[in-house]
Amino acid sequence: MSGPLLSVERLSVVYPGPRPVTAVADCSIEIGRGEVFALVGESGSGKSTLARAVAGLVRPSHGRIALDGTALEGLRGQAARTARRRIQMVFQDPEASLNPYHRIGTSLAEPLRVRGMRDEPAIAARVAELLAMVRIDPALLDRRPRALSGGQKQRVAIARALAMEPDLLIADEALSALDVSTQAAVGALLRELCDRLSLAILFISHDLLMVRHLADRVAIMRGGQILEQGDCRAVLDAPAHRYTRLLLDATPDLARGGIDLEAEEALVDSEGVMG
Amino acid sequence: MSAAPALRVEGLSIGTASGPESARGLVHGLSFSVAAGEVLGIVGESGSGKSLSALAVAGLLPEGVTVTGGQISVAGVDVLSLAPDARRRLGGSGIGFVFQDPLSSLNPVRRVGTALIESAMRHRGMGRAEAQALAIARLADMQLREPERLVDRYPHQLSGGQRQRVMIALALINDPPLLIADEPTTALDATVQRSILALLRRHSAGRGTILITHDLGVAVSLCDRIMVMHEGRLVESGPARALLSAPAMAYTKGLIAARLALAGAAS
Amino acid sequence: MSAARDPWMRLGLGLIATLALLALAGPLIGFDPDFIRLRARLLPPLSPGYPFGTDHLGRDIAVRLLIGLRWSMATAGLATLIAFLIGTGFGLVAASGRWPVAGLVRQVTALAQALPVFVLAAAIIAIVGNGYWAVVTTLGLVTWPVFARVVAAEAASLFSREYVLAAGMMQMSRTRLLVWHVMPGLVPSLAVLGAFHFADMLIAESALSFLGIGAPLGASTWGAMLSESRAYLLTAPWTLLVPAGAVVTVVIAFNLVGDALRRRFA
Repeated sequence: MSGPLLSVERLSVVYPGPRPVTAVADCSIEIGRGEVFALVGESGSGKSTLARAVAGLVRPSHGRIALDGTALEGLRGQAARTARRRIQMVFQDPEASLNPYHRIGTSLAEPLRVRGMRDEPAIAARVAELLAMVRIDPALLDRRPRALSGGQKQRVAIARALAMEPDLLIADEALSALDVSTQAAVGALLRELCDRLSLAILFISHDLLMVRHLADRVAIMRGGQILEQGDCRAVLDAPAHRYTRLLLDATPDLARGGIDLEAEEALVDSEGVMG
Repeated sequence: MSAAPALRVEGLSIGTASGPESARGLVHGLSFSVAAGEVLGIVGESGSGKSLSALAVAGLLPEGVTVTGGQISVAGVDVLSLAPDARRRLGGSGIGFVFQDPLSSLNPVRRVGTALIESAMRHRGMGRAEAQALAIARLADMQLREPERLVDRYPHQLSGGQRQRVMIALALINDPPLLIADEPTTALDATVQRSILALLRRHSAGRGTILITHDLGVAVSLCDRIMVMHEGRLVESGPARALLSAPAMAYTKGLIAARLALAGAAS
Repeated sequence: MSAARDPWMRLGLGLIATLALLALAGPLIGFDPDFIRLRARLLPPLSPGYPFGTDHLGRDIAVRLLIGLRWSMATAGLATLIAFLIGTGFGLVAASGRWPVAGLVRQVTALAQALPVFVLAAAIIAIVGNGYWAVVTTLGLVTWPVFARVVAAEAASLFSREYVLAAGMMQMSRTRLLVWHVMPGLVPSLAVLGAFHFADMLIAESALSFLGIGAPLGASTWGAMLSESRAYLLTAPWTLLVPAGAVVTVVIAFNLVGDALRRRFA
């Protein structure tokens, strides 16, 4: 078990059509247990598509995705389901992450029932345990999602994912829609769960400050390709790629007094508006 | 007239008529002013009342939400006492407004230039040719390439950053004394955000500018002065750098710490 | 909660409840809608014993209206139910995309939608003969694509909702996903559509009866009443206006409810 938990090898995702779009091109990453791996990029960089391919929501065109050395693509039937259950995901929009018709307790018990738990007291006990893990007041069990704040909804979504006892948790911009102080708290929760449960987390984000705070390793994506990857601090403190530098310069870092708008290149952006 | 600040708000209260009695007040006795040439940042989390206050100034409050007290004067004109049509004229020429989502604020079936040209014709009494020339000049001011071709494009043919530049051009076409930008870069990528902020900085000379944002880092980058709002009330305000380095209130300290902690981890 | 406070919703529901009660109670009053009294021909409304007046054969318009209400509500209700069941089934199959029949269902739905519904219904009934079951099944069978289209679109968007994706990642079975997560999400739009469809079906049924190919000849239905009264529009306008008003009332009631539901779910 010394190999990486997840290994993605030369993965490509091409969306078919009259003009096929290559969303992910020849990307390789590895994530170990107890590690937060951040995928950073702007819109259209392919970071979400790569995450969705790992989650099994998008079919890869080429390449291999393996969990503990076993390729997911080759698995069929029960073996495929068992392997897939080890990967869970938390999505960006807290408003859509929970079924609006179900009470919080129902949403959390659902994965337990899917996994075959039938003993009601045991289900209730496990739900209480999950709530404690994400620090949600048990009084909220009987509420529906609309009575919860955005941060609470994301915590419940994390708890629901944890109910499957995953080895890999994918957080796809899971903090982006939250208020600043809530972001920090939910981010800290992710880090804590990663350390405590030896969970591997694939953290998709455009927020370099949060990435620098949370992640062990980082990959910078642009146009479907990984430009550079490595130890988080090493990459962000001494970027090898010009684009990484551009991203860092555009990050509103309070410690540096915000973004430097006076610099010559401030008016140029990645969309190349100015010639 | 020139002595009057671009915007003066005194004791502004905003409320709604529906819902439980205790939740009807949304903004409580807010006072602030913006001088010509100054950029004011209004920073707060969701529900702080920052956007409502800006919408009240522009007369754009949603249905069911009203100003329940206080005074608003734009360049010395008391806007709350204006007749509705005078208020609309002010909205077209006295206040420029930039929204978060440029795609939903541009009419998808009309060419990009149309709104610019019509606004210049209506509020400046220009002829079509003159208005078209002005529209092209404004788009060029926004660092947009080939503005003479751009006027004939449709919003969906533009990138998000280009659309927001068009929105700023539209907000500034009649040289308003006050520009309000409500989360103008929240939907944009970081590099695009940086260029839009630089653009706003460039065009802030001579007019009052208000930037509404949830991101202190963005506010500090652009603004001379920052006011922090929480639950409909002013928490504190002051020069941007001073507020950042020596916040007086616990709430502000918390906001700053939430972001600084992230950066601190790296060093 | 908010629906109960919506005055239009309450008005619409109140009207529907009253109409439904009247439709159920109709036969109990014991008057014969076909009882002819030639001495009491074309009495205006509010005549003693005849609140809505009488028609050209001296039949009590109020009694005929009541019997016609029963027919109209039953036809529109059952036609809507048939369209709903077929349409929802096909819509779900089309949206699920997995089963190989999905593509076929999509083609059939698109084709069925392109057909002129009313002309088709009239043609079918002309061939198979009229009567209650013929009208009900025909209307249901030609209008289900409306439901199929809405369900397919809504379900497809629900399938890409985050909470449905998350449930899918738990490797939940597709059937359970459909029943547990997707179908409850369809209720709002189906309720709105159902209310409007009921009104459409009532109009369609009246139109068929008006043309003489709906209810059996001589039955007291609103469409037939309208058709028979055409000649008396100028001399005894109530014979036409009363059944017309009845159709409009039911249509408005269902539209009020449909609109209120749409406002509530929007």
